[in-house]
Amino acid sequence: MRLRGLTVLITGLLVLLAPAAPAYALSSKDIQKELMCQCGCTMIVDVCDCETANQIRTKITELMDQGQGKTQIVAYFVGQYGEKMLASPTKKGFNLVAWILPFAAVIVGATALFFILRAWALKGKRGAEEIIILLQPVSAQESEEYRGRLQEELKRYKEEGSA
Amino acid sequence: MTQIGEIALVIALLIAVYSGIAIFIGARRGKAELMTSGRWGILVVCGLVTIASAALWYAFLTRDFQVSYVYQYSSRGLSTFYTISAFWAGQSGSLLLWVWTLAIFGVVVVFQTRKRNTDLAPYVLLVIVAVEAFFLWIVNFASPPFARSVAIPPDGNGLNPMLTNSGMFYHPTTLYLGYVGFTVPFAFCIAALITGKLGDQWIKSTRRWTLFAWFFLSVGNLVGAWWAYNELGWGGYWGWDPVESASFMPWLVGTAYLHSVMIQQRRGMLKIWNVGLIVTTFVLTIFGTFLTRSGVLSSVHSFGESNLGPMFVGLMMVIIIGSLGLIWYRAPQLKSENELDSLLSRESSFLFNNVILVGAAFAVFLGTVFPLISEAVRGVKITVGPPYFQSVTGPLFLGLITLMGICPLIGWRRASRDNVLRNFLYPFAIAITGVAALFLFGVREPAVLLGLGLTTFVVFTILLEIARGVLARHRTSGRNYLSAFGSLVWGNKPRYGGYVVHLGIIMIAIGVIASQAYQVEKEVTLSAGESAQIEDFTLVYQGLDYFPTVNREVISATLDVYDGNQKKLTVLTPAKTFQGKDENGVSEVSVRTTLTGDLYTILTGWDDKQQASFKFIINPMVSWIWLGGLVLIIGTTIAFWPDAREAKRDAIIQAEARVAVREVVYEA
Repeated sequence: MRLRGLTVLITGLLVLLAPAAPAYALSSKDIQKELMCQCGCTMIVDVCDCETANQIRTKITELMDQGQGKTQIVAYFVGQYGEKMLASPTKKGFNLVAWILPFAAVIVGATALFFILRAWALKGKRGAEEIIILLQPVSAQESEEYRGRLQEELKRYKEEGSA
Repeated sequence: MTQIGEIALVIALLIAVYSGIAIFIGARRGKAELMTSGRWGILVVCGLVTIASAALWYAFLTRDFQVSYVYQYSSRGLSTFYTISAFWAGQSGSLLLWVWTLAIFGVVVVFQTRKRNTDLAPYVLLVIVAVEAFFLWIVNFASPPFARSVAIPPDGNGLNPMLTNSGMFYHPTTLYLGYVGFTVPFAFCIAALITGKLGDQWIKSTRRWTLFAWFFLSVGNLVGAWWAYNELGWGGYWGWDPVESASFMPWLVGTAYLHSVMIQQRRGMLKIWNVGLIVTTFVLTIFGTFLTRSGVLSSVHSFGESNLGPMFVGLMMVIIIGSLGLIWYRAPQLKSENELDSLLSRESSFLFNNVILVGAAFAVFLGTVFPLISEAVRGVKITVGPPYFQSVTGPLFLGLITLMGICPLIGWRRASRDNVLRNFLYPFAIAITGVAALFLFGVREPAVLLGLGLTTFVVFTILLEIARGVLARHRTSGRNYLSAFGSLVWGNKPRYGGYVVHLGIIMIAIGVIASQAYQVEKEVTLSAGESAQIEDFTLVYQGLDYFPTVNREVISATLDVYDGNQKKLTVLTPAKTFQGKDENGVSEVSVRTTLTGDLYTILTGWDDKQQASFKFIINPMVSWIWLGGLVLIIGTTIAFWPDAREAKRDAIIQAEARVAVREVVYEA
């Protein structure tokens, strides 16, 4: 039950967080966020304020002014600097390993855990069966009997205590 | 003095090796004198490394630039404060700090095991002293801090301007306390594997060590984030740099371990899993040190490439192969009678939490090393940057937050479905109401609604759990609510301390979600007297000031900040400082912090005519991250606090053990 919930949750989140097709005008920032600065700072162009990042920003504006789209501009920079210019791996070919493996690992791990826990719970249930029999609900008559006995014993206990 | 330091390190290495051998032979052959001698050795090693560390500080403070390390990381103009912190500004000093920290921990363990854990102690100390010896080897031969040049330079190179921040004092030190701290639980685990005493004794004995290491790793990472936010001047606090990831991975696995050991303590289950988790955590701390120091991956933290890579890889291989070998050897004893009373129990929720935490650590690991894998497989260099980590870990963390909410609703051993649903109802209803309110206020992003809905849910499950406890105590003992609350928390510190930590984590999560989703940014160029608008703020640029300080040139802009009603709120002074030969300068950001958000200003450029360029950023709720950190500190302190009942329990166990020993002696 929980596993199904978890799978639904993760799938749902993936759908929610997947970048939606932009319904707004393309801005230089959108492109800057997908490109890595090449000054050695290991930051995306958007947040780096070095000279290299400034040059990249100027080039992006220039290409946008020429009417180029995001894909074309990104492709231009990949052509210039290679695939390492992209801030995240492409979602194709071997790079899919990086995108899929973490989720696959968690889903496989959670599924395996579910079955293991179920097996453990079954084992625990069998062991506890005897106790459960003892804890079976009693009939009204029986319960009345037990109550009477309890009262009696309590009374005796009190008398002994005061004596 | 530096010669004394150098000699101290050589002798420390020799004594560490001797101590290891003496303890090992002493334990194997049952020779108490040898073991005592080995234990003394550990104290001596600590003394010697302390002398070496004092010598390095002495060299720094006396400006002994003939020592290359001192030349490299300080200069005459550097203030005493930063000269002291220059100790760990580079590789050799950082590694010396590593071994010094471990040497001190070694001494603490020697004292802790005087009367307790006498069966595990020899091997615990053996592991610690072996790790000490490895690092001593490195600071003696591969990366010596006292190496001298022939000439005596008149002045030093100076400290990297980025490092002249108070964060330099707290970030490396706290992180190292965390990194190195995990050596102790790891050592106890290996000792348990060697001796075959695989019950929960080693786990109980290391609860506080684990908590200590986890605490400092958390604080170290948060201080690092705070430092990046206030010093790097890009408006963010976490850049998913390989080294940041490197310190995040042991935190994730260590967190999983903190939770799963509770199941072993309660039920004697999951022995092999716990062993695996602590070994992984320790390997990851070494991996972190390796990443920072090897230059394998480019990072803002690697200060030059070095030749240490192969040695660290060797150490990691030894740890992994050695641990796996021991686990294999002890496999029969590690098998535990695994039984659960119900699938719906806290045990289960803890284990799902483990899967997600380890999964997240795996995701971060894969992302960190994927550039190397890609180069090896395809021959193409690629980058795995922030967008990847955000989209891969985001859903996992939301899953984790969900479990944080569900967990307190489910009791240990067995929970009835009705009970869980009843507990679930109020927090869930409040969360839904909260989400609806956010929606009405214009929040439309599904991820934000989901994230904030879940955090609300978690907060109220925790509050409900505490409120129930307080009410029960109030009813049974007749105490007033405040005193009932106090006695509740104080009566079970690990549990309620844990809940407080969860509240801290939730505050951090809220800060991250809000600041990621609603950051607003504006770049402007203004002449003196001109103003710019960002959200409700109006910033009036008053002009530039140029002035020198003791060791740097400062160019500072003055900005008057007004709110929507034209009421003056504050004056911000973003600046750029120039030190020595550094031409790029370092941004000194100026920030107005409130609970709802930060107004973050950066001076990016200027000209002779007092015209200046700025970047203004509105970072919503970032202060919640730092406040969450404080709550986390309070929670961990509660959980860590000595517990009278625990001490009493331990005393009984000790007394029983003594009686048992006496009986054996009398019988003999």
